[in-house]
Amino acid sequence: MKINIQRIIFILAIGIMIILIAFPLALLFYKSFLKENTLSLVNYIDVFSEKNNYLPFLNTLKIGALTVIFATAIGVILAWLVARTDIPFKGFLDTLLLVPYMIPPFIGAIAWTQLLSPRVGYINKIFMKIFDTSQGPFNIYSLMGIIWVMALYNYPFVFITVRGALERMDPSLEEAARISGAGRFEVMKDITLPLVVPAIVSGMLLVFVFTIANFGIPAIIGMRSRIYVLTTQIYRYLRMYTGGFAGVRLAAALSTLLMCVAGMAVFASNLSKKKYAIIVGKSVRPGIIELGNWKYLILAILSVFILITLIAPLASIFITSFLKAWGIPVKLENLSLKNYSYILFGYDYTKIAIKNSFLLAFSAAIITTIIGSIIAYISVKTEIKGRKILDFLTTLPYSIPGTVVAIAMILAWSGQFGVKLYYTFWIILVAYIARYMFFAFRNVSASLEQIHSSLEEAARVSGATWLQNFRDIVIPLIRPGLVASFLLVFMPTLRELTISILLVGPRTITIGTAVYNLQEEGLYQITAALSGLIIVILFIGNYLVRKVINIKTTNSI
Amino acid sequence: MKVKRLFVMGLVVMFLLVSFTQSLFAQQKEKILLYTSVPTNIMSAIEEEFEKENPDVDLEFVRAGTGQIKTRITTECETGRVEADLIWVAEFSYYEDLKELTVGDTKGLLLRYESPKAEGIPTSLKDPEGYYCGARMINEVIAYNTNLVSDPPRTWKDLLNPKWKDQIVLADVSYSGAALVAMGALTEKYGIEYYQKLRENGAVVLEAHGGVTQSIAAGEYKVGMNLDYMIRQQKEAGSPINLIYPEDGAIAIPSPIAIVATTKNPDAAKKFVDYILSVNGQLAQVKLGSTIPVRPEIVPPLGAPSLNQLLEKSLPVDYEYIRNNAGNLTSQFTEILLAP
Amino acid sequence: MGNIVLKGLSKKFGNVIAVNNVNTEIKDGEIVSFLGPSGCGKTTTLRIIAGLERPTDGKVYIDDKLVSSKECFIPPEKRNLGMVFQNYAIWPHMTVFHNVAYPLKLKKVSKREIKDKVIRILEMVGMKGFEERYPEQLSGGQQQRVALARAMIMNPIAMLFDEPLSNLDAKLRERMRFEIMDLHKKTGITVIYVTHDQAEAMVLSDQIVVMNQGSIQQIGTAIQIYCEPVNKFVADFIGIANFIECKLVELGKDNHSGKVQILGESGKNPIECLIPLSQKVTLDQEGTIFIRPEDITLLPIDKGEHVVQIERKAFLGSIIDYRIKVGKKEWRIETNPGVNLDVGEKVSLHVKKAVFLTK
Repeated sequence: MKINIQRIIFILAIGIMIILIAFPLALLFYKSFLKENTLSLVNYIDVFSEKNNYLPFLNTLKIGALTVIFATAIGVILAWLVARTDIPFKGFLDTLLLVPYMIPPFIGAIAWTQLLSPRVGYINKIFMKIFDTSQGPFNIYSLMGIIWVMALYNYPFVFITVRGALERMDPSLEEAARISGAGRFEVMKDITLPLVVPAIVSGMLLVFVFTIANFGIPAIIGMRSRIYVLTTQIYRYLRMYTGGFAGVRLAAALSTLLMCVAGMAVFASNLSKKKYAIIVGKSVRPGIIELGNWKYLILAILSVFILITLIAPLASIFITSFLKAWGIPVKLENLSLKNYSYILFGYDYTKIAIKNSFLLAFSAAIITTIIGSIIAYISVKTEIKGRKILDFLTTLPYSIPGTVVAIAMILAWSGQFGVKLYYTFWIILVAYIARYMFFAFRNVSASLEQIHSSLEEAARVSGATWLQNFRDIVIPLIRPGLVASFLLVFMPTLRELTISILLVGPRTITIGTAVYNLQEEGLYQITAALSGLIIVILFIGNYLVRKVINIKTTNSI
Repeated sequence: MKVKRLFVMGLVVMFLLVSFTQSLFAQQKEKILLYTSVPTNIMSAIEEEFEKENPDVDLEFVRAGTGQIKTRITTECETGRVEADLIWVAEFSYYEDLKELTVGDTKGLLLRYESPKAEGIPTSLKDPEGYYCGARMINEVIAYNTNLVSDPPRTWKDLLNPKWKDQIVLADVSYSGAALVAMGALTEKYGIEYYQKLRENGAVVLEAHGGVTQSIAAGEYKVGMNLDYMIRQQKEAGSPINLIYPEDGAIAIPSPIAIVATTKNPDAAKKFVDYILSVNGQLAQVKLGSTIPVRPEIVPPLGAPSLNQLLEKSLPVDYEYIRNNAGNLTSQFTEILLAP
Repeated sequence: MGNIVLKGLSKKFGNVIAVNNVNTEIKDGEIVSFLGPSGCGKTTTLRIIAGLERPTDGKVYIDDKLVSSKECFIPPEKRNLGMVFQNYAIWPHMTVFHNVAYPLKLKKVSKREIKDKVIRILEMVGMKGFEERYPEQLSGGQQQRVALARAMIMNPIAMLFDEPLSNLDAKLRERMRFEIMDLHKKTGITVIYVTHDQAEAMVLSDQIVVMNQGSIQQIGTAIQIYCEPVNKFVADFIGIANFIECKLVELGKDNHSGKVQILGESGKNPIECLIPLSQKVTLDQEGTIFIRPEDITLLPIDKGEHVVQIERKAFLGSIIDYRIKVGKKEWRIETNPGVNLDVGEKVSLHVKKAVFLTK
């Protein structure tokens, strides 16, 4: 009996994943070789010979590489400070350093344009006043501007992975080195650093993939200076051709290119995958270095860092949202609540966007958790042949940039195959599910792997059918994993921009696209007010969800 | 913990209920959806005025650049269903294209409607076949920052003066219909070289005129090609920005409104067209949007030329030419001003 | 060389007192075990000696030089002590060769000399030929040997072992014990050995330091702490013992022997007992005697002092474990397999040796 049910579920799961993921991506790949119904490489030749196309490609690589360097440097230093020194206020630092997660990247980009616009940015204006110049020293609308904002958004990836590795490292490895005669510096160089390299590499990979796949930051910062990357160029192609699908051809070629770059990065990082078993069971704290009087200097530098990277953008958004008009001096008489009152009461799209985003995020999170759990169970706990294929299909979209997923969805579901989803709520939902399924799958897999098979066997021996075992034993035990995977999908999809900007229609506008459209229109104050509102909503939502989750997980087994 | 879980579920259920009942209530009124490139804040204000006069109609609008609206319409035609009931963008010639589009079984996307309120409006601003009618006059003019500029450029040619190098800003032709019309007129007069020289003079392109206005007002750029009504609005609000109707001719753009043939609420749609073209509607636009009215008897905004004065002084626009060359112009603009 | 003195050593972690006024001397060339249950402070003491923790109070001297105190602290890399950790602490990113070579590399010894020394020491611990392997390819025992080699190659003045064998299986543990003892015999190096396994401590050590809750309970040889424990904890921790509440009813001359009456069993005959020198006693004092299970003989009813009934019996191969009851208390007796009695049978007891302890 059990085998039959499992078989059916397996076939269903494979079917779903093929329709959801494999088919659109394959179609994209195929279309990229088509021009006017003949197979050819002409699209790719176009791509590489036209400077319109190879320049974005180069820019993408440049920005990716440099962002990785900066983000890694910042992330590693901060991780080391928090995990290995006696710097005070650690808990506080911890939360502060993770706030970038809660401000969507495109809102951060908008904030930085307000801060560092060459003649008008708040920070530049301060310099201009002090040094009496007509232009400030910083220009956000540049390659370095994009890299700066990207690095600020990405260092948390490195920070979290490296800090985790440092904290979980078996302290006796470092103690043995000290006993053998190594001084503090030599211990770091010979022992600690080599052992966290895998964590650093995985952080770097996350940074790279996120950077090359991001749309919002290069769109808001780069387009004005004609600096294009693959994601923004794809967006432009879709928009340029008012005849609908003409631009999709080139977009498909560029998308495939983008996908390859991401794929190669994943491949390269897998090559250097040395998994060191440095995780220790005992909860002994690794050696803490006492900073002594350096403490104060470092705290001061950190405070400046937090001021610049966290407080400045937030302040900028809120100040701009209260200003009556762009560019006028920040004085009390120039402030008003009218932007907020418009956003809250006058602008229809605020409510629609918020409702759509919450609905999308909630649905995507639930569906991916359910399907992801089923697939995870099949993958981890059964011996069904072919489950590796299922694994692959689920993991595939992980490294594929959102833009590519969106284009693939457009190609697959715009009517040529009988299913017309373009510009509806459903196409966005389907894209989200495809893109984020992997998060759910991975989390639940990890939880399932921790359940020893003897627990399930005991249930079967006690008389439970496979379904009862699943319901009474497995589900309660993996509840933390289920909750985590729900969150991991809910939070990013709530504020997502990259995918939805290509897929939204009139009534399906999301939070991200609402902000982007207002910014594009040039209504900077209203954009700031909506951004401010969203930051507050995300903050509260995050807090509430954590509260509920804490209760749930502490009350589960 | 059970309590908290129930509480959260209760919240979710309430939320869903509220949004459901909201949409139920909205069902009582006639709903119409407008695609427009009129700026969001202005459109919101007009919507409010319209709904006051017509409480049984619920107007919703989608605001996007003309280029985006064109893409949307084309795609919707391909999927067989156009969502909009009304279209109101800046590009006059586009409406001829709309007459030829097919959606589903319907050939021709526009509904023929000659509003009684269109009577006083000059014929040059209307479609002779009666499918669309100019609803507002917007003009591409020269904008400048009054704090930074004491001798603004007086003609389009003046913009090419090296003293404005890297200080010029304009809107993207593929986004803004008005910018496309302006380009059509300017290239006819000065050739495509005009735009090449703009590029050489370091002109920067932003998507929308809204951004152009904001950045000039803020002092990010000193001068630019912009829409007159936006400049007037900011000036009234106290921003250091002013406009010049260029001596070699402003570009007058009668932004027309039309009803989509497949509309499910033609009566409500007609009510909106009537309103916009009526005295009240025109007055509302002057007050809320600072645009020049299409009804010659309405007093224009302060400092603006009257409709007739405008039509005399403007650069002639050949809409046939623009219609036939829209794609060409767009790619040329992209090539010259947007390529890295 | 290798003389270590601990004076008044104390260590507090927040409010928890981990090490409480520890005083002892480890003489050059001795193997000394620190023995006790989890949390007794033995590992902390070892880590203070190694320089991995700083004492809250007290002093540590190595060869008459002060290395640890509240004011003075010589860091671990300068103490020239070898240490073997419980989980081996072999660096996973280095080969066996590089692991063992590391201490010499730090001293900037020449490459050729390093190679020489590493090969020799690997041979000494029985890991010849494993130079190019990585730790993940080694078994637990092999990793332990590598750890040993790495510690020895420094030519340290003393070797510290922190429960090094607790992760190995029983047979391997026994073998490693003897190898460590062999090593000690060959090199004569001072060894401080922390363990919770009393059998291990008794096999290995010249002296055993028994600790509980941060304080030293007793220092002595294996025989001393087994036969003459100074308190109930030591008596109980080392080996098995029956503890019986009693009253001292007779006191021999020089206070080294006496007779006790089991409390609540005034009908029974008093039992002869020894009184260790460490105990200060007076007549009629109440206390406890402990009797090792092997020190009780089972005799036919008429031959012994107390008549009891066999409650339980377990055959364990080399011994038989009997349980009997005296009053409410269950006693445990071990005999050789020849003494074969049935459950329910009545026998009499003869106590060969009992030791009296004050509370």
